Amino acid sequence: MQSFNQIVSATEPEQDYNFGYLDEQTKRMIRRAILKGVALPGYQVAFGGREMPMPYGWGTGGIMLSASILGQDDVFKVIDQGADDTTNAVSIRQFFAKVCHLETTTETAKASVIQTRHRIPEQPLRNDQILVFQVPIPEPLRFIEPRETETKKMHSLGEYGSMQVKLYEDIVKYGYIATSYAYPVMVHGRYLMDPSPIPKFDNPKMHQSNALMLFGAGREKRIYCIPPYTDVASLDFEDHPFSIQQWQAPCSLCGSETSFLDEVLIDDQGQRMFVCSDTDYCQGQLAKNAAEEALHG
Amino acid sequence: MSIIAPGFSQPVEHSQSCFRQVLKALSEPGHIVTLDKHLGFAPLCASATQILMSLCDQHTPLYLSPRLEEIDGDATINQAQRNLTFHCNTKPSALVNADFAVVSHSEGVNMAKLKCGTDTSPESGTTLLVQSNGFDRGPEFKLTGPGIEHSRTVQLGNLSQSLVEYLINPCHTYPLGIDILLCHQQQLLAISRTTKVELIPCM
Ligand SMILES: [Zn+2]
Repeated sequence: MQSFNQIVSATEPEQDYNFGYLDEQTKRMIRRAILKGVALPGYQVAFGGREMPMPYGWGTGGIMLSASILGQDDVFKVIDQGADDTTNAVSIRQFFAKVCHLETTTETAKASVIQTRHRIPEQPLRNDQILVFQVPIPEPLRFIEPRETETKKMHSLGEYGSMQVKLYEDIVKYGYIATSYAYPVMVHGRYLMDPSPIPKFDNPKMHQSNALMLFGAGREKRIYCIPPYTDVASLDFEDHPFSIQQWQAPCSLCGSETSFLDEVLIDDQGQRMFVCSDTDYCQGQLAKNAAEEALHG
Repeated sequence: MSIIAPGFSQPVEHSQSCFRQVLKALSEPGHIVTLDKHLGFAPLCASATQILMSLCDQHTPLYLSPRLEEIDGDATINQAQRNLTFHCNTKPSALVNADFAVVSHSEGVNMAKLKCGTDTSPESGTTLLVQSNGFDRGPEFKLTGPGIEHSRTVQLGNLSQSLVEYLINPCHTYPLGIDILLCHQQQLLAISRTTKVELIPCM
């Protein structure tokens, strides 16, 4: 299978690609699905159409969404697990710089559209920003009920007891809810939604967010959305309220006590440290610290 | 006499920019956006025309109400329809089958007859474009719901009793429903099926 990198390098800017790579017919279909998704927060809108001209597993769902919404005036940022500099993030950014002739950035504050895999930026988003999530498996009930016809029925009836049971089994087994990624949420009090494999640490950022959030699953061809200022509640129990991950120590690089930390190996002896997963945020904090030090000596 | 008028001068860019405006409007109900890439195929107004040109094609049955002709005496609905068919391949449809429908603000619409989606596919409801006579007239409404921080007060123009009735007390129960795009000249203001609409009593 061709890698996404090979596709990017084969995509010559002088070639006459349609703006955004997708044909207009496909974009229109995706755009209509996005609008219906916005009117039905958390509901998975299926869309048909032809196969994407790229392999799955490189964030096809996110790329389809980005290709359908981006314009020349946009400033585009891509993060992969919080980092702008992974092969995947760099490839997707270069790809859109080529096929949309737009400006790219690694700075959260400068971006108008941010495509992400597995994180929501630490810096609060603004109302004029759109966050696009890459989704591997859109159906939160898939592991409970593999049949699509049944999960559709469960969504139509709002029958989500089985998900509560699954979480409660965690409590019985471990004494706490062990699910820490792709933690299910209720959107606008109606639809159960998989927020994609972000850490549950990021779940509260979706509630009454300033920014519009779009989720795309390429393989299953599903789109779902959360408009700004929408209620998003993580499932929990009265005696086991929802809680987010916490760390004993701040980020080893910037000292942040409020960001999501990744454990990284720093030498062959197995010594570890904890650093911000959001690299742009960490660099921003470092710069802020340096500026303050310069000011106060 | 049938003369085909030009569509978007830059179809790819203009479709994209119009879509983004529609996306902004529907994700933030009550917020007014401007669509300024085309003058419109009369009697359709500029914003309604641009919405249809950026979103419609052979897969989206389209209904244009003959009552729109009252807005612009010289232009016929057939002319607008021919232009849209030429530029977007749209097929005319009866109101009950339409994915997109355009009606006049003053006409009575039997909302219960429009497609409102099904329990397992609520997204198949009609997107209803209502050509308003201005967002600076008509009764005041208070909007709350997704896309609205706290609440928003709007005027929607002089809408018919059936349209006002539907906004305040829809005959469909969420998630079923109809998404409404109010269009006036270059302006667009959306009311999503999630939006709670209350009539503000006159003082
Ligand atoms: Zn840090």
